[in-house]
Amino acid sequence: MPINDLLDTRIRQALTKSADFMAERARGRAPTKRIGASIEVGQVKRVADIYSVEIGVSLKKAPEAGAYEYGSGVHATQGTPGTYPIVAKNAPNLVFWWEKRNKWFVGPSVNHPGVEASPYLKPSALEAKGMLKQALAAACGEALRISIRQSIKGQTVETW
Amino acid sequence: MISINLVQAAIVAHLKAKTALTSILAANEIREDSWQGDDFNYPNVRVAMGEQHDLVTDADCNVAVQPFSVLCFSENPSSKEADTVAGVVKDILRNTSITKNGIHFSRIRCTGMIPAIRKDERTWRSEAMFQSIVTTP
Repeated sequence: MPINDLLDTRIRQALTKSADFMAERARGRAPTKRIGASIEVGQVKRVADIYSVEIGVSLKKAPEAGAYEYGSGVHATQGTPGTYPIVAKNAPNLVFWWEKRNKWFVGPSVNHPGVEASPYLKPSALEAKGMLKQALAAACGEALRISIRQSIKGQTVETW
Repeated sequence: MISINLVQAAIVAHLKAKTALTSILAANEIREDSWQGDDFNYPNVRVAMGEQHDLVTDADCNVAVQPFSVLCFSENPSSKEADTVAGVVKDILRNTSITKNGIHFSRIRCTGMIPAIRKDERTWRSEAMFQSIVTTP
């Protein structure tokens, strides 16, 4: 196999493996079952000489995913922290058990304090980074070894 | 350069004509990777195209190098089915020269296989990677 293709294949394999590793770790760390079930791994893409792979959460399936990754309301680590209003839409009043006050809350709106950050993507990405570095170094080493061997033996290397 | 959608359609048409593949897939489940539908039946395969580049710099010459991948999806509890489908795809395409829809593929090379990973919690995805010189008359 030509060196360019070998290197391309190894990079794709390393990225896919690392993305899979990261996604599995993130699924394990996910604060809710729904978030864990909504983590998806994309296909490795190459544009010019830049490779990329997407690991993300479908916000259609788990709209709360961002709030748990970054924190929300007064716990927000991105943007301006503060409470946010939740207004009754489908009924005249919101009705829920208010644990802090140990009573039922009944009212047309509430200022929600948000949720504390419980990151599951970033720590998993950092964990996968080391693995990816090793795999890429191994891929480049292999391509270089084969390239040198082929040069010494005088073999023709296909260029397409 | 040759329009990528035409090359993609030719690969899809070629795979659809192979009973070794269609017999192990759900009906009508060989499609383009970018196909947007609501109804997915498993196992299925999707053809994803890479960046095409000219092999020669002659404006009158339609000879290009086209990398592409065939993604194989399964919802079985085990990853075996996705890898099996990828193996069948590899056997169909590897080292073959074909002409489909007026596009000639010269010796399709299998550049690699990626074993099944979890695309999401319920779906396995395996990948067979190919490259070919494509020409049009």
